[in-house]
Amino acid sequence: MSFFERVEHTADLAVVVRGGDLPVLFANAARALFQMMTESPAARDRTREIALESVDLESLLVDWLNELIYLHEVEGETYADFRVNALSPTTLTATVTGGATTRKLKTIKAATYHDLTITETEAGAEAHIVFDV
Amino acid sequence: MITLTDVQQIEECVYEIPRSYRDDMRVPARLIADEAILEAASHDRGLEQLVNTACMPGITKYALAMPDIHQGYGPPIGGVLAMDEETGVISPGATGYDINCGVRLLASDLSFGSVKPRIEALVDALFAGVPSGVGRGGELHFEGDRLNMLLERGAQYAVELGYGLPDDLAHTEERGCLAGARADAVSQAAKKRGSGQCGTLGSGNHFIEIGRVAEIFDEATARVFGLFKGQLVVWIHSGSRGLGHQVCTDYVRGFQQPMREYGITVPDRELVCAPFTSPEGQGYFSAMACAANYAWANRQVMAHLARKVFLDVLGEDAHLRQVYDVTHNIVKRETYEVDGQPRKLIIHRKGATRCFPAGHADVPEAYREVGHPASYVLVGLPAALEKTFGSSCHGAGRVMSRSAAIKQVQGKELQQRLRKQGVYVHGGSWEGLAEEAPEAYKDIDRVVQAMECAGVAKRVAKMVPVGVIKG
Repeated sequence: MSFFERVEHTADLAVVVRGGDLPVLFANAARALFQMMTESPAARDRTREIALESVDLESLLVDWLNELIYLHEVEGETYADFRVNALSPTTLTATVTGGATTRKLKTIKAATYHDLTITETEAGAEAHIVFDV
Repeated sequence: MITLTDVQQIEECVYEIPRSYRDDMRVPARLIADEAILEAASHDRGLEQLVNTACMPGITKYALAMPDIHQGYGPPIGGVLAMDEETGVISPGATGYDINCGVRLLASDLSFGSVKPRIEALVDALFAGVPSGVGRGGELHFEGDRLNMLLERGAQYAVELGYGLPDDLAHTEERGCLAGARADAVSQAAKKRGSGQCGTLGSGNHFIEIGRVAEIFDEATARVFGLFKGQLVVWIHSGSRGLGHQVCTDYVRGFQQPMREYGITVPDRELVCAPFTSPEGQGYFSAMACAANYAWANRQVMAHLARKVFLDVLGEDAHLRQVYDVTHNIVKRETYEVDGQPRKLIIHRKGATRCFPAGHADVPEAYREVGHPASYVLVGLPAALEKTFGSSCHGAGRVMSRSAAIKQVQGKELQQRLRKQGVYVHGGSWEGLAEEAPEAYKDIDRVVQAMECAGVAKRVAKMVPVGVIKG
């Protein structure tokens, strides 16, 4: 089973993302985002440290993805490796590595709260996320 | 899932889900539609999203959707929410990420027939002359005080810099500048995203379209708008680009905690909101107005670039006069009569346009005897003020998801098919083109007929595309 799949949505882009635990789920959500937005970067020469604080876990997931959308757009970077170093229900620290964006595929405006769920499953954790495109 | 048995017909082309449908509804939910549109609306979650908006604090009269309704995030696309200014809320998520996404219509004095052999050259020149596509920036950069001026003065500042004509402003909703904009309400992150994108089309469903007027329904009104059968026209559809996306992201995030403190609950977290009169509500309104002004400046610069291309390709007679510029994702302060009394309302339009009738003070003077044009080209009727808070549909509305469209349509084949039908398309990507295939959308004729049937707007002219640029 792939780590993410697209699900039906009339106007926007909805996905289900899976991970063995919550940090992997967050990393996989970021991988899914970049697979939809860009081609893989040719280099791995840019590293960024990310630290976020949010009101709850769902907000943290939205904020994490929107922070990456922001960095991708203003820095012209595409990330391919995502390491979530620490994750609590309200804080996240992570290290992301990638390179200059080589080819963009799709503009994703933002991750939204609409229909956002994070659930524990037998295999770990699963999230449903809707992106505005 | 809402079924058709939950919906009552109120009058011709007006349907309602009563307040009794769900305990948390504060007002009924209304839809302008015919039977076929209503049936199609029951296939996705657009009606459920409409009911969610009927639960928001201060919502007045009814939550409303236009016939181009379809599932979005938060409110349905095609939604109109009127909140009481004193007791109601303002919601960044209900406005959407592409603040002041809108459409500008420019009309030439040329007939399509006289320039038909030059259409492909025109489309290619527009593609080269107006930056478009995923993440592509433009040649203009606005930073510091210049960006702040752009955010606070919108298209008016762009015209002062030489992009377009003063007459364009007279034919733009709010004269291209929404009052209340305060650049200090916009984050540095949003400003950084916006610095290099003014005058760029973007991607997704944004387009520049060369069209011809195929049919005139109302000769007298068309004459006032300067439209005639066979005329060559240009549509520009774009918004506030990364700056607007970031403003929405910032305030959706920033409202999460205050909403709890104000004791407000909403059925969908994307409908996060704060009282309009609160510091948070006022902050978002100021930032949203800045993003709206950025979008008007963006379309102003693109209109200027399109004019240059027309002169270069077709010669000195190829002038483009602005017919109108209308937004479809915005929050406005407007006054309507409710229960016989004038009420100041905070109108959220998410995929819906303003459509004021003849005589309204906010209609440009040149159009005041007929009303202002909306998409397709429609003109507002007096009943719009009573029935829809002066709102109309913004397009056809999707019926097919993007992934379904990609499965069913090959971009290259679509380009060839459209070419045989007389529409030359220059797109940035095959997948992007397939996602926006005509069959992914409702029948536009039915949608505008439903508006006319409900007495809200009437058809003035129908345009058909002859050339399209997709980002």
